[in-house]
Formats: sequence, structure tokens, C-alpha cells
Amino acid sequence: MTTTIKLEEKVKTKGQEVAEELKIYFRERGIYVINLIGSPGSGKTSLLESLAPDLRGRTAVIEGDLQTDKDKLRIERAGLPAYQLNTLGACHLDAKMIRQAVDEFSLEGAKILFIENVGNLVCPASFVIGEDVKVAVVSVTEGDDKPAKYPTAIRVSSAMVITKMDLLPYTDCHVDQMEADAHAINPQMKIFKTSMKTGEGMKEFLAWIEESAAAK
Amino acid sequence: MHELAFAEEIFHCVEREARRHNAVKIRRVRLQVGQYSGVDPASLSFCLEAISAGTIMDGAAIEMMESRPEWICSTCGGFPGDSEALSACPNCGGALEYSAATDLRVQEIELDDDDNQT
Ligand SMILES: Nc1nc2c(ncn2[C@@H]2O[C@H](COP(=O)(O)OP(=O)(O)O)[C@@H](O)[C@H]2O)c(=O)[nH]1
Ligand SMILES: [Mg+2]
Ligand SMILES: [Zn+2]
Repeated sequence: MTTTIKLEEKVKTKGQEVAEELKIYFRERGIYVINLIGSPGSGKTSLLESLAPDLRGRTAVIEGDLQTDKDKLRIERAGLPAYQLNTLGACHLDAKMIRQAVDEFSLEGAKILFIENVGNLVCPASFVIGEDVKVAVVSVTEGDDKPAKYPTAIRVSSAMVITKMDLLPYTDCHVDQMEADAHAINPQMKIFKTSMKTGEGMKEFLAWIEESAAAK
Repeated sequence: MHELAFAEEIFHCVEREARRHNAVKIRRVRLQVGQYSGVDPASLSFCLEAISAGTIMDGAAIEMMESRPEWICSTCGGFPGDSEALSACPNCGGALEYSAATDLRVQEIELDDDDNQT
């Protein structure tokens, strides 16, 4: 006999389950977790280096790259404790890698944890890794069409940091267009226009981080 | 990206139900794929077909319906439907929240059970 079973069951991958465990882990320790996503070279590591002096003593960083510990070393030089994950080819970090990192890396005293994801504006957008928020990092030199072309990254991110504003005069990038496209996809998105060279917009971004972390 | 991981979990879910109902064959699996689940339907189909080969799910029809974001009531969980114009839940007056359709769900499974056993 043919029977129809009604289920309405939500399917969770192992990764999503681990991400939920991590969220609890971070919540119990009062650590606010920011998952930084963006193309290679968009300025994710530079952004963290610029924030380091203000966040020192209460912030830790997990770095994700295919290979090398170059970014970890940069972050340590900037004065923050850092742990390097190497995905050896995988295009994004997953929750299991983060669990491994927090097992080995002391988050003692950290109130804020940044996770710099693998440089990629596509895949990291589809994975939760225990974060409170995702922040998309997009530089003006990538072109103003990127928010429209990579809508998933924009939709899942609470904020977008537009970097390299100091280079704007040398590009055809229309920042207004970037903002309009991003807001069409994600009306609540906070947008910060920044430069690591001039410091533009960094006070505002820092204030947003502090405010969001304090609300946790 | 993670379609294979989802396909495996769907398979486990179907297999569990099959055992529970003494099924001998799975005829149909109906899935609801959230528009923002990050799951690509074509790739999920491919993965499901690959892992169900030679199993009880071999040859089952896989139906996927896309679910779109909608308003849900934060108090009673009801779906007031097309409620752009509403400011509160018509059932209980609760605040409405936007649900982003990020889930993947197994809606229903159609199976043949073992007549001889029952
Ligand atoms: N002019 C300028 N260059 C920047 C800025 N931010 C980053 N860069 C440069 O962009 C390059 C890539 O930066 P990096 O932080 O390594 O990018 P990541 O791959 O996203 O971590 C480096 O050469 C940085 O010096 C900025 O605001 N202005
Ligand atoms: Mg980097
Ligand atoms: Zn209600």
C-alpha cells in the first residue's frame, strides 16, 4: 500500500549543528563573533590591522586561508592574538574548522572574535560558523557592480565595509550605486565607507562594532 | 556547495521514516527549498540521485518547491500571508517578523509499505 508521510522536518547538516553548538559556546562566554567575508585583496586583514590598536586586550582573530600563516603573523604584529586555519583548497571555512580552532586557541579575555574567512565573495556566504553577524568587505577597486552581482553575500551580511576610499579618484567606481544596490537587496544593511590609508570611516565602523558587541 | 551534506541528511531522514513504516520502496520525496537556503536545486537533485542509487530511495521522484521569504508572527508563529500592508498579526495582534526562507525541509514522503507484514 502506498502511504504519504507528512513530515515538515527541517534538514540540518552536521555543519549547521556544529554552528549552533558554537553559538551557545560563544554566548556562554560573552564573545561577540564577526565573520568577515570578501574577495581576496578586498582589505579584510588590513581592516583588522587598523582596528587592532582600539580593540587590543579584548579581541582575538581566527584567520582562514588556503595556505600560509601570513595573515596570522600580520595580525600578531598588529598586537592581537591570532590563530591560523588552512583549508588546503577549500573555498570557505566551516563550523567544524572553527570548533577545532577554539579547542586549540585560547579565547581567554576576548569579548570580540573576528573570523577572517577565505577570500571569496561566494561560498562563505552560504555557511554559518557560529557567528553573530557577517560583515562583507568590498573595495572600490573591485568595481561598483559587486554588491549587485553577489547578492547572497549582501543579503546575509549585517554590514558592508567599503574599503580603499582613498583610491576612489583613480577608479570609475560609483559608491552611490554600490550603496543603492546593497540596500535594494538588504534594506537594513549598515554601510561604512572607509580607507585604511586616511582612516576615513573607521571611527564609525569601530563604534558600530562596540555597540553591537555590547548588546550581546 | 553543501548540497552533498544536505543530500546525506535528507537520505538519513527518509531512511529513518522508511524503517519506521516498514517501507519497501520510496516513491516520492517532496522538499521545500528556501529561496535563501544557499542550496542549488539542480545540484541537490544530482547529489540525491547519486547517493540513493541501489538503496530503497533509488528511482524515487524528487519534488522541490521553492519557499519564499514571508511575514510570520513572532507571537503565535502564524503566517498572515500576503501582509505587506498589515502592521500586526490578524490572529493575535503579535508583531510581524520577516522570515528569510533559509530552511531546507522534507515536507512529505510517499512510500510503499510491506503488505505482508501488516
Ligand atoms: N590604498 C589602500 N589600500 C588598501 C586599503 N585596504 C587594503 N589595502 C591594500 O590592499 C591589499 C590587500 O589587502 P589585504 O588586507 O591583504 O586584503 P585581504 O586579502 O582581503 O585580507 C594590500 O596591499 C593592502 O595594503 C585601503 O583602504 N586603501
Ligand atoms: Mg587576508
Ligand atoms: Zn499571531
